[in-house]
Amino acid sequence: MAEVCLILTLIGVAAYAVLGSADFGAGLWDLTAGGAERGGRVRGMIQHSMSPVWEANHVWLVFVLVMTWTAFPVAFGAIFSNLAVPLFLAAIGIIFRGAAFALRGQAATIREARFLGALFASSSVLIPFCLGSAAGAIASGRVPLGNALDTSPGVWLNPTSIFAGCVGIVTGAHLAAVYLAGDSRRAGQEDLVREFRTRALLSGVAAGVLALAGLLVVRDDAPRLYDGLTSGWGLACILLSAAAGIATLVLMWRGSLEPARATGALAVAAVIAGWALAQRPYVLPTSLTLDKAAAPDATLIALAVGVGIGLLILIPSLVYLYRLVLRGTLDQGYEPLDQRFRPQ
Amino acid sequence: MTKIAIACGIAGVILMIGFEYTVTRVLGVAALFAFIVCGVFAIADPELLAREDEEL
Amino acid sequence: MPDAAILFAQQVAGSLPGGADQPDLLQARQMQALSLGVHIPLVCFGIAFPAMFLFVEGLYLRTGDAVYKSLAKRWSKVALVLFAVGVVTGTILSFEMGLLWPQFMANFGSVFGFAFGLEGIFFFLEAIFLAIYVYGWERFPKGKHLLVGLPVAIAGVGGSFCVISVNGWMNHPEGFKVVGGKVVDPAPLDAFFNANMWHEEVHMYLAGYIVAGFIVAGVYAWAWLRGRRDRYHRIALTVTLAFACLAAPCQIIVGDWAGRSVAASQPIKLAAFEGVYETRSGAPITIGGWFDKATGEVKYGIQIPRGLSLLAHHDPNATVAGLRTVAASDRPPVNVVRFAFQTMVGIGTLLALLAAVFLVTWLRHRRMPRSPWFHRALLLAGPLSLVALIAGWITTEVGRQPWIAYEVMRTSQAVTAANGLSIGYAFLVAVYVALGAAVLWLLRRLARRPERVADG
Repeated sequence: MAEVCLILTLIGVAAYAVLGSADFGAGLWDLTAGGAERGGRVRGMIQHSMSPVWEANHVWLVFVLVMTWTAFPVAFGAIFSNLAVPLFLAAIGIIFRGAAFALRGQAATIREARFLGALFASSSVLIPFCLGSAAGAIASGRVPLGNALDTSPGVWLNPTSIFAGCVGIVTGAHLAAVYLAGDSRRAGQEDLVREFRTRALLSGVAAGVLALAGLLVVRDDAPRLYDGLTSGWGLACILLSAAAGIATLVLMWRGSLEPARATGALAVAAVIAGWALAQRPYVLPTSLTLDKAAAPDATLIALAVGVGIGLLILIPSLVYLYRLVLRGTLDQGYEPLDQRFRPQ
Repeated sequence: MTKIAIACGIAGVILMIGFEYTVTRVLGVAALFAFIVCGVFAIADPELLAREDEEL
Repeated sequence: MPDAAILFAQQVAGSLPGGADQPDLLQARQMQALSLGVHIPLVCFGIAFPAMFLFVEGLYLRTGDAVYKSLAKRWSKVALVLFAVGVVTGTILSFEMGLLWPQFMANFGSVFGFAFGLEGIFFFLEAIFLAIYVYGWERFPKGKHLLVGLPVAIAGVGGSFCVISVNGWMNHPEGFKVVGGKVVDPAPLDAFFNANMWHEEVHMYLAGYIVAGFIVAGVYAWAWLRGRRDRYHRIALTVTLAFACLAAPCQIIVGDWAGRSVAASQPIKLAAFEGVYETRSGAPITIGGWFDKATGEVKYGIQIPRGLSLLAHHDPNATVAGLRTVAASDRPPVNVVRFAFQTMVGIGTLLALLAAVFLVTWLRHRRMPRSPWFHRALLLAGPLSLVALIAGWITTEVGRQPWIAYEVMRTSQAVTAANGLSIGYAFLVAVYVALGAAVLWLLRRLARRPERVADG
């Protein structure tokens, strides 16, 4: 039963990693889009493709929190008390990001748009870094089993954590570019397809290089994690992720944008799975195993059943939403962001 | 509709203030809820809303 | 009332080892209170606003009159903005559960977490269907669009149902056993359907309609006072006032129910509501005044003899337990709770009176009141209902202190041992102030954009 709840939680993590980080990656592209005119088209595309779905994306994060605190409450308490700083920063980033993105659509001057855009983008880099570094802290066994027993910066600013954070940022950028390319094609903006395709290829290569470098870092910094990632099921997942990553690059190069969405998502999901498998059997290496961390069966069953029934309603609804989005039913019409700067 | 709403309201008040059993609570809350729903339909009736205001 | 020995045996020591004492407990509580205070008005809109705009869309479908459609469309777009802010503030609350109260979560997460699991599903559904509804205006056949909005209303109610159940649980913890200071045998369904939840649920639902209704009505009352009195404004006012003014009197009745429940299950909380130090029968209500901790008296108030016994137990001679029955460390701060409670009841009564004016006028003339004084009062009603909302939550949350889980775990035991809470608190305040300003800016921009009948 503990495994069932863990898998549900990991599905939530993967969903958030894919969807949420694509949102964050868009923030990075927003920041680097260029000046008002050139950048306006890119920014407009970003605005256009994210509006209908971004709230739904971020609910996955809350889902993960809730699953963890219900099914693995002691682990939750340990993680949140010891990783208080990065998690608090991530929370602040979430506030800024949400606010800035929602407000940006209403900006009427270049200055307003630039300010909100900068806020949006900077928080979009902060959040994946902080969450990535928190994941790295857990994976490298730096989270002690106790109430804020170790809140020194080293818990979340260590080689593994920093690399995990950076990989999170770059992967998000890559996924965002992949998705935005597809969205641009749907909106009939072929020049933007080219822009995002270039970004997807560059960031994909960067993500790959970073991931390989990261593995070497982990080999020194967290040997147990390295062993987990390079043997057995952990290795299988890493290889799958690499294959999916390469497939994404190939598909993007050849212009098959829609399949690239799927392979990009698969690459990220495989890393999440690999991480979990590499940590087996610990939730907090090496102080808390899954069995010890798990709540009693009554809770796990209630949770699994409740969430299971909920997912039966939720997943078709999500599919419905995505179908409507991809079909263009919910599109609000594309316009470059700089249109608004024209005097009324 | 107005009369139903008022009746539900009075029933709700009596059930909620006068008694303290689970059954009367459930019925009382239901009555108050019905009071609100019927009242909204009565007040926000399209025919009433369609009338132009004479004196303004 | 459990005696001290039993009380102690029931209490839960932390299952998460170690951690030094937290000197900044008050800051942690303030942070949580701030985040809750920012989030709860948005919850009101999540509970009540969908019903309002769906009702108006229903009127559109019935009459074919496009004025209804443009009103429903405008409201739904505002709802989307508010929901987006609510997602953010709600996410912060989830983070704070862990950041501020890791010991609470570690011990009781398995007991009440299930409710949050369900809430997450509702919340997710609300996000999905609200997006479809708002972005789907004119993209669906008419009846289908309304249908797509129904899950929003259901999910808004369902999600808050789950969360309020948890708050009910905190005031009446059930669904677990305590063995050797540790929580065992969690029974999530028992915890979910705890004895305290029902009056909290109904009380909060009505509050949602009152707050959302009066705030939105206030916006249109402002326009009314400035001469915008066309059908669009009249409909907007009538619909929102209908909801709010029908709910406000009901809230008095439900408040009575809530008060009696508190009297029965949390007598010390009730004692704090009123500043009753000595147990006594025929206890009076004192309106206003100040509770003096040293003497146990309420000074400078207006006393109504036997009032509290009458309200709390419907018996003028009933015995009301006093604060003195428990140790000083087990009592909540009295003046905060008293002041908040009386503010809530006072404003609630005023709102019910305003509602009565509306309802009586409507019964007699089949229209809303014409007097500009009524509309000026409406300008106040919205903000006042917000004040009452916050006051009510302060009453129940501060009144529950020093417990985070009533008589089972203290807030001081639940808190994180991490440093730097003061910095975090200052930071959070700054962020919320900035966010509040930004939301107001956005709503004003939205309001300024003409959304008229021609807009479709």
